[in-house]
Amino acid sequence: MAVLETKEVFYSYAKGNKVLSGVNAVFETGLMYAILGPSGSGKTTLLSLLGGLDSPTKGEILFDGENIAGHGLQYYRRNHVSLIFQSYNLIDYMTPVENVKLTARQDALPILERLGLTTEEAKRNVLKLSGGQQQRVAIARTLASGAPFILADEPTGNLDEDTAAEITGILKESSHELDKCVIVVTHSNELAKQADVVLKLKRGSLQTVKTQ
Amino acid sequence: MGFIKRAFLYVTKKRGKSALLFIILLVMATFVLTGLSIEKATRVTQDNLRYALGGEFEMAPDYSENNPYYRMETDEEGNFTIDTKMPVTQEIIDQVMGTAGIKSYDGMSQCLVATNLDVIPGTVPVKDKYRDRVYGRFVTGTENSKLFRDETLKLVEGSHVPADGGHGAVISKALAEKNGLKIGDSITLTVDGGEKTEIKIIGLFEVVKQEQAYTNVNSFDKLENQIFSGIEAYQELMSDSAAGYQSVVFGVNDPAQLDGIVAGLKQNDAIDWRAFKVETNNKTYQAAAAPLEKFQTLITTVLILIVAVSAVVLSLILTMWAKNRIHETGVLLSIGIKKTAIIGQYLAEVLLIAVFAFGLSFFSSNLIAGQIGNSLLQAQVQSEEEQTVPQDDNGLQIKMKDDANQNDIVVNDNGDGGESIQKNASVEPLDVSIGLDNMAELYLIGFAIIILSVGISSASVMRLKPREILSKMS
Repeated sequence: MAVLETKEVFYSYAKGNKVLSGVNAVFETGLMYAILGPSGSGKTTLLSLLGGLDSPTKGEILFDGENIAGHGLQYYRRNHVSLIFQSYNLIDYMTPVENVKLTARQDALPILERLGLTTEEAKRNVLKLSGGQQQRVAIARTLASGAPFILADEPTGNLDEDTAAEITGILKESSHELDKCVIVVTHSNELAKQADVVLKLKRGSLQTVKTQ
Repeated sequence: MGFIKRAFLYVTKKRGKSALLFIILLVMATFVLTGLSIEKATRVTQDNLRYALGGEFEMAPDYSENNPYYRMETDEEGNFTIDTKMPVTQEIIDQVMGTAGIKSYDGMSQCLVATNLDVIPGTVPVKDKYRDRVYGRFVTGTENSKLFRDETLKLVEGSHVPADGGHGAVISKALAEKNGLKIGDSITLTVDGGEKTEIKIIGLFEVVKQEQAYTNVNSFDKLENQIFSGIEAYQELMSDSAAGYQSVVFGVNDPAQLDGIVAGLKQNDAIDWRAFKVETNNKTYQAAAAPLEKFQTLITTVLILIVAVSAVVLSLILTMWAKNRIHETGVLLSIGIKKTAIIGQYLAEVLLIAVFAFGLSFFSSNLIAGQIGNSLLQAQVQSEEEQTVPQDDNGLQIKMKDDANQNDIVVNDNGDGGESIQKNASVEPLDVSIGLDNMAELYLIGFAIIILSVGISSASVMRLKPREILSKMS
């Protein structure tokens, strides 16, 4: 079981705006986490820090007890964590298969097929897919990477209700069946209901709303 | 997926951008390659011109007090004679000829000789004493003699005076006809001291170019009256003088090296340089090479400008595109791809297109390089001609000789000491062709421009943290 832990994490912007004030949390594989909070509460900032896209102003983030900056954040992003964004963030000149192959340590097509894409769709340009299909490709890319932690920023924000439910199901399945730790930042209560653990970011601190 | 695969996907799937970049690189490469090939052709033409025209320097006794072997004698009537005990001997010539870069020599001694011939009259009257006198030119072979070499005179019958001298002589056909002489006949030459020598006519020449310096002159300066023979005849006439030449003109292969060769030669201690004056002459080369040299400077400047403009244009375009690709950069960074690998991809994309664009520029440059090169060169030559002295009707350019110093003592002046007439050497059209070396240079310069441009264009994005890039994306 892999563990991602934040210890007294602070983050403030150069202008002095304090966003996070001593966040302490532990995330484990096999569970799906939802982080709730109003706009501007620092959810995306926290996710960026967990994803190694930025460094905390103070405090540390540990992966299996080691600071994620130890081997360099690029190494951490490459091997331990994978991100899903609201706007899918796929490479527009590639097919789904090629997008998945960007990180793949395994064959891309079976993963895409498992997530509901046909072989023909998997070889089409990603921009010719629907939003739900594009988000499936983004999830496939994270699964193919083999990273134990999947961080998702409003993954259902651009999707209709049914598709959002399907994507939520896939994420939950990934955490339980593939032993991934899925951390979702969301405004969606529906999505939060599906999470094993719900945390709320308020005034820069993280509070547990629901536990397993 | 490696960066080269990603680059290949980008190039093949973003066809519009790839085509635009291909055209930009093709135009850039065509200009650079054209510039390179013209520059090379100019260099080759300059080299050819140097070796074709050659250069020369004259080594002659120094008739001044600086020369310890110099002597001047004055008789009771106030006439004076000057002489040196150290003329340019064959031994000295051999020493000089041993120097690298010297290809030939043309030695000559000359003096006024009485002939008993009915000479062709000049336009300037002479005293009775000089009526049958002509210049005897005693040379190291007439074929190599300057007047024959530059085709002022042309052998029309018989043979040349050989290099090893002897008593064979070449006279003008006009003088021979006027005196009823023919090949095989002998002439006796006499000098003031009474010494005589007999020479045998072995060839006849005609004056091909009646040059200005030899037209308005007295009878003994006229080219038609001059008698060419070997150095042995001269030594018989001048038995009290040291054996040797009054002047030897050495030809060098490369006029650009002329000053260096002379400087090196003067380090040769086997020659007593106090006794000689050395004067270099590469004016013909300089006159012909001047437009080429200026043209080469122009082409080099244009080439540098093309390279600079190409780098700026390419950097601007790639910077613009890099900003449009910030989303892609952010995604690649977020999935853990190194910045160097991302820059490597962007570089590989441009290089991939450049390889083909540069290859095609071989053909486009071949089409235009020759025309552009020769048009520019002609413009340069015309501009040069407008700035130089005017020419006469025969296309001859008249220049004052540099050594026409009035304080110099001119010995046995035969009329060519005041002015020399030099044919204006023409510049041949450039033979512009694109070779493998030009292509290699193009790839080298082109790739350097691309690396610089990609580096500049990527810098603005790559210095950002991944989160900043992703923020820009959202």
